[in-house]
Amino acid sequence: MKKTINIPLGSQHISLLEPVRFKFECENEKIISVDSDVGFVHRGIERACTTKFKFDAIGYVVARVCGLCAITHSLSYTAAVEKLLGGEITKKAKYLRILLLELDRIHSHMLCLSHTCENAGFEAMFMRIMGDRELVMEIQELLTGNRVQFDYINIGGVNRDINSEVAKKIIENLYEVKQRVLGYMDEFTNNWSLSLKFKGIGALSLDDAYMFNAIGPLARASGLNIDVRNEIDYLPFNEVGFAMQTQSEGDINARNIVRLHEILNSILMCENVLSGLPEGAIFTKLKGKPNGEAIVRFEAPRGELMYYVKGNGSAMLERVRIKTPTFASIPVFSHIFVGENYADAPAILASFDPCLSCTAK
Amino acid sequence: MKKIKVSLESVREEIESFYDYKKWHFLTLNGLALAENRMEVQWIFSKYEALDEVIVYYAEIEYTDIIPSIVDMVPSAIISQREIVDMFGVKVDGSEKGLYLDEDSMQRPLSGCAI
Amino acid sequence: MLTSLKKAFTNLFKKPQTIDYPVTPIVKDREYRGLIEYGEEACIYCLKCEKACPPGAILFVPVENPPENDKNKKGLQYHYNPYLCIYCSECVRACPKPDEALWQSNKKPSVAVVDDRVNEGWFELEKLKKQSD
Repeated sequence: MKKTINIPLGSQHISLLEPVRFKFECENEKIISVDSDVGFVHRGIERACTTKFKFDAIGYVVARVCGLCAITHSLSYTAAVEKLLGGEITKKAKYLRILLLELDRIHSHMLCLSHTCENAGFEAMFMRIMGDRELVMEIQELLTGNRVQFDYINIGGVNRDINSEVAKKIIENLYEVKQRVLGYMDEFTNNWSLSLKFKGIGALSLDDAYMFNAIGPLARASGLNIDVRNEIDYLPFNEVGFAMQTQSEGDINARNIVRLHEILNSILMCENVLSGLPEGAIFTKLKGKPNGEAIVRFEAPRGELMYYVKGNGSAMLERVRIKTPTFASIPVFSHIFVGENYADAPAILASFDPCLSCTAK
Repeated sequence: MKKIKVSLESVREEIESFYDYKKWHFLTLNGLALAENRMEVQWIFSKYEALDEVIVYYAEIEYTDIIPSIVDMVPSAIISQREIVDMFGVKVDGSEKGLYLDEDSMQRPLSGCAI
Repeated sequence: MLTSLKKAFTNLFKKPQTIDYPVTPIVKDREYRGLIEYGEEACIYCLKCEKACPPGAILFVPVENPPENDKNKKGLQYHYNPYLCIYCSECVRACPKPDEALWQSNKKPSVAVVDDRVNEGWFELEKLKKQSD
């Protein structure tokens, strides 16, 4: 007689924001094997990039891969094309790019934290964090003109300059966010439903993190030093005070703590960008058509994002390959689920911060 | 970015001798449509804590060739292997179709002979 | 415990964080990226905006009674589809006479009706455009 039972999670489930389906094979309460299906929102963006759009419009196309890390997508694509065109952008444009990238990281991490709270049954905290996230959304709108789809990055620089009023508002709001995040830090370490309940659940050991190529906050919570901001030089992250945040436990709580520390580090970076913002133009015209191939990596809020771009000297590109963080993490997700209780699965899944529209692109 | 040409027969040996899982991590398996019903397969790796060190192993193949799987050495390669099966209509050892595409959608959309 | 009780009690008398829409309108920032607006008199019909637009939301289509403008030699008429537009303002940056011929306002598009040429009407325009090329 068969001793296991198959239980699906998704594709529609109250704890999920986006469609993904995991099929768990359970023995009593324990999960013993996992099968996943991630392709529910496949839109064929890679094909559209090589058949429908010219290379200068693709920055706006790939931004629509994902709403939460839109800026990282357009930034990675733009950096790849800039590499192929061989131009140098101004320092001010680089600083403004960092500013928006980090603001995006702050709001994305806050969304993940609030979602983790919701899955722990802590609805009030969910509301609180989502309410405080508005402070960041507001300054994103002031800076770029839109809350979600920024369309801020352009091949050669950025689209809008920053004025002193906006800079002042950003500093004020970020100071407020910082106070709130310090408050969460207390909740996430001392509150029973958020810390003790999460300790030891969904743990990933350092060796397994290496083995399964874990990336992003998931890997850093296990003590793996991988942060692409440390490994690239297109943007001067080290000048503005980037510091790697790692923990060693690798469980859900450690991931939350890593995200909280990253928010604080991002706030610091934004403040440094604004205080040391260089003078100059925000846009340099780059001439020519992309020719050759380039690989560009950036640290999206969920981990490493890779773009491979190949051009042949005409306006249409030959290939745009997007490797998104959640896509590369599906094997490690499946590995973490094995051996856990089925009842913990939604909370573990929320702690991964999965982005399925990135994954299926 | 360093590119190393390999053949389908030697790719497993090459990656096995080079891949140290504590020093390198696997980025993705990439495909590229070439002219005359050929395609290029790229295994892309990058180094931990090094400044932009990326190594690409690549092989030029026909669409009918069977690509060897590297899942036993790099477990995370499974997902990109399944993607390339869908997108290019090639065969990869032990990876089945159907990650993104359904039976009634456009088949092998990126291969240059999409149907 | 005491602090949380106190907080819970004071929260009872706090205003909600959301606004009372539509009674209280949403305040839009002056710099908010909204509808693209067009000034026919200043337009020189260089068609740069049409080429720059990523989704193709601006079309210049030949019509029988084109607007009277010396620069309009081919008898074209400007069409804009706000429901296709992504408000990136590439067209405004491409325009040789921004602020006079083409600029970005902070208004939102109204709810679409058939007369706005949202789907079928717009496809017809796209067909006309293809024929004229």
